[in-house]
Amino acid sequence: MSRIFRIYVMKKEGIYDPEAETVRETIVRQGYYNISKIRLGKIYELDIEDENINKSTEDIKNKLKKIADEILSNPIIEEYEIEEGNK
Amino acid sequence: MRKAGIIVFPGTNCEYDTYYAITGVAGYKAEMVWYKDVEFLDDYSFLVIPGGFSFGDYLRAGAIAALTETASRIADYAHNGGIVLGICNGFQILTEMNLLPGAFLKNRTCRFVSRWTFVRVEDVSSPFTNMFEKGELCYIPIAHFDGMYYKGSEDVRVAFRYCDGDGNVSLESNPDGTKDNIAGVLSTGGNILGIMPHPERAVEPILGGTDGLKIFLSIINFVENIR
Repeated sequence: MSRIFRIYVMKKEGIYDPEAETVRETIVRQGYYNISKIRLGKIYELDIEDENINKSTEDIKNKLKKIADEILSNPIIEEYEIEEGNK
Repeated sequence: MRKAGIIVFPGTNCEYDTYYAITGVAGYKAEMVWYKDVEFLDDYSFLVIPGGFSFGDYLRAGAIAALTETASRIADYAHNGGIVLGICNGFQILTEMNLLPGAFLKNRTCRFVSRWTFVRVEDVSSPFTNMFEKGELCYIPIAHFDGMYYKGSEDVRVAFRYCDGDGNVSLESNPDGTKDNIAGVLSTGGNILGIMPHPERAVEPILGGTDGLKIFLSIINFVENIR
């Protein structure tokens, strides 16, 4: 049994991110839209295999929260969201 | 004479320069320790986490090294008052371990920066800076991509700041957009230093300068004579 979860890790609001700024400038320079803000991040897609996977979504989310806090994000500069994805 | 321990992670690439600076130039003893072979750190008089790209800088610079069992041993060593110097990627590892405050973002220019810089010594009461005078200038090279130090609202104990050749701390002398020109940070207790410039690359005239040597001599002076 397996379920897919996605963890979105983004720079916190107000953190100057030169990578995102370079992308923003490029989009504006190409004449598409005048974008004042852009945020850039990473998506981690986890296909979790576990025989008890369908028992408690709460348990899974708590564990994923721990993974995000301790490994996938740096709380000083980043924040994250967790959602379940489709197979 | 005791010896320094130089921790080597996969992707570390400044361990030989660091070894040479400590043994060949400063005249002290040192050994390189592969991170999986780390056992009794207490045998070392001080530790250095050298620069490089530990674990390819995957996830975030220094993040994966900070999650190793070795990092826990280094943290124990530091919590017991051990002297730990993190250079460049070593600095990033120390922040990811929460042994030093703050975090790193990509350079403001979004470019890798590799050049010589001046830094001003701001704190001379630490084991790493006891042979300097306050306000003294050091000419030491930098080479990094993720060098924009971010500290949020935290108060940090600043050891070095980027400046120009006259000692002015200015926007023009800030090579990577780092907060308040911060180039080196001490732990509250002073026994841990993270520094972005590479002192091991400035230890002999043939390299272009010798100012980095004083950091190693300060540490050796501290562990052998002061402590």
